[in-house]
Amino acid sequence: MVIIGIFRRFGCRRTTALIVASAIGGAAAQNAAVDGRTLFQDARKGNCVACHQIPGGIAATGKPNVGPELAEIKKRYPDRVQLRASIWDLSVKLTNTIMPPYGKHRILTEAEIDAVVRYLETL
Amino acid sequence: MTQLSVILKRFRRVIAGLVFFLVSVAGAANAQSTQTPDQERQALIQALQKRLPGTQPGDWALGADALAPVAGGNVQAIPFNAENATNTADVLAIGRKLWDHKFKDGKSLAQCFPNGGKRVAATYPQYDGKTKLAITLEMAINRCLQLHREPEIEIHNMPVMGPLSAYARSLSDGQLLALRVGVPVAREKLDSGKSLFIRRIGQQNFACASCHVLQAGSTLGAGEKGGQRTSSTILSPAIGQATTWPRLEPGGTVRTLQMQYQQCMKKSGAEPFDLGSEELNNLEYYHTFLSNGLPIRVLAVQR
Repeated sequence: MVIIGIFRRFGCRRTTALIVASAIGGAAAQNAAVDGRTLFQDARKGNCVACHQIPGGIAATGKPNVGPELAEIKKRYPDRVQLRASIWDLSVKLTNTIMPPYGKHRILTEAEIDAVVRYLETL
Repeated sequence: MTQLSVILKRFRRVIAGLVFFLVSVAGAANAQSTQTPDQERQALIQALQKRLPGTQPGDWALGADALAPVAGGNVQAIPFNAENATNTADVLAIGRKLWDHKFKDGKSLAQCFPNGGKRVAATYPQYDGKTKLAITLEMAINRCLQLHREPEIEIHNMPVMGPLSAYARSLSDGQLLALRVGVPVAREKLDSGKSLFIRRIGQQNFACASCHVLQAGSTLGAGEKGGQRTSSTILSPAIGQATTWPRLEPGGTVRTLQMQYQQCMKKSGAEPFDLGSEELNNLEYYHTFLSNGLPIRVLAVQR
């Protein structure tokens, strides 16, 4: 804040804006990285746990089996682009899928999808 | 050949679109005209039996929890407790009072229906030749009020319409649903309901059929909402669902089948159609027709 104040005093508003923007952007990127698991569980966001079982199982009761168990993701999706595309809109590959098109219908932001992809790759 | 390939290349998107459109139209036409409604229902029963081997429509009507052993889940059933039973009696008592209430002209709702309303609900929704609409039992109640110059009850006025609807259906408790699809226009209404049943809607892109046909019997796991865990559940098959409405909420209020449609639409991220709208009436007509031959059980406490 002190630095921003100095820039303001010297009339460097544009520079100030850039610094603030990059700071916010950096924080958002960091949050997204952290929040992949949260997005995965949150019923208002990914809610992936409703349909997918994961190793160890987040779900306390009931074993979800609408979609396949999400394990060994890196083996199943060596290409991250394919994994991301499946989350963005699986109906391109599987016409009858009931998986929501998270990217196409903007249920998750692009950054949030990236966060979920990164989390999935840890499974 | 070279020229042809250039043309094909230039218009490939248009051609692909046209092919997709023709296939869709052919598919839709095929779904509507080649089979009778009963044949379509039988085909659906067979498809659901492939997902839930060894079960019958009568088993499905007992609710999703009853399918837990077949589905291989470990979902806990909602217990039917004394409190719920008391609510059931209270709700039916309120409904009965309204049903028998004398109008200014000395008549009552009971007198508007054959046999005082006994065994009537099993044929609703039904196609009405005068208005050329599929009408629900609640609409028929309002018609009676209209006929006798009594104020109509708004469909969403659940403290009044809920008990009334429940009582009117209780007069058919145990009766097998027997909806008719006679004239071709009735078939159009049924098909209109079917098209909404299979249409994907909302941000989540679900159709009724997504969960209750394609994934019937699958287990939905628990997630988190506002720091609370949501409960897991088994997706019930479309056939059998319509037999148990209206239902009682845990708090004792009445919930109609159309309110459930609205909830599903909201879950799909769509703005739901209004209660009593032609869209929901047609959907109720189709969806209830799917349960033909199964007994009505009013105010069941089940999922």
